[in-house]
Amino acid sequence: MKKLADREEMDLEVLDRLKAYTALDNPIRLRAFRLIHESPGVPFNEIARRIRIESGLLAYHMGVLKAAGVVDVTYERDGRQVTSYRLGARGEELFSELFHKRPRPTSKAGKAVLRSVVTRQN
Amino acid sequence: MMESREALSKVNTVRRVHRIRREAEQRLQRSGLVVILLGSSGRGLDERRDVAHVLARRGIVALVPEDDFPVEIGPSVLEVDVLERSDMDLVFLSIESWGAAAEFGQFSSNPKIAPKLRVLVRPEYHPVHSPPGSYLTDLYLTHLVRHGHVYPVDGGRQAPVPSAKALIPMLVERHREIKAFRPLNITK
Repeated sequence: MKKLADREEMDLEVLDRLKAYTALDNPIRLRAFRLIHESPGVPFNEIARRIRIESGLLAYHMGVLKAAGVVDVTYERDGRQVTSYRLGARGEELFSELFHKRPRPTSKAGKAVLRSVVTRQN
Repeated sequence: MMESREALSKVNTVRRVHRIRREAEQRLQRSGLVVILLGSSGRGLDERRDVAHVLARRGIVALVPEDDFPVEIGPSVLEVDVLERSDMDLVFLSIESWGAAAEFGQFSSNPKIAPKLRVLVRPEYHPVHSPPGSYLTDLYLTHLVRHGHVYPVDGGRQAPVPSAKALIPMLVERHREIKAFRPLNITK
């Protein structure tokens, strides 16, 4: 039987996962998430322009991503204040989990090449 | 061909995210929720931040507009339209100022927002704890009868009722349990 502390730790992991995937479980937020990964430091107005969504509604969606810890936010003053977004460590982990393809099993021909390289090195 | 393949991949990702969320929900036997905490600034803002922290540890996405909204928009532009159209589950409104009272009037009369609304008032303004008299208490009574969800909060200052920090997590926790097991039993 698992110890109570282990179970609580597991629950914390699942709770964190639930929070993150509740935030991503929306097509607009998922698009913003991908866009931020492709363009780290992208400003709020640029996201609104690229996703073609009104800024009031986008502010809500970006708020959800931030509150869930999926994105990090920086505020800069460039004449007026600008909010920029990038994926934090948690966001990068989630991105890898969702989008990175697993390495393909090597073909027969590929295996033969690899074998010959290994033999030559030895 | 490339476009349709890309569209298919996007649909698959949306489905995959939804499936992972459902797996976590089933494991915890609780639903994932997005809630927003509205109210006045000052001490009220500190309290909302504390509540958001408690909720986040429980796997709930809890928004405090002053902290989570981009500066380009600002928390005051939380349009009714956004609350109506977004996938937000619950809207907690602590009424400690005339501005928040005005928001209550706006939200309470909106049929799409009113069922999500959870109103927190001081006991001296709650229609059950104080005799109705003021215009606001009367509005709270109407909301209470139509939708329920008008709660006194105090933290033991004057009346033996809980603080917002104790009450909100309790309500949210029960809401997500009902949403996970008997979603048809709740209006939102």
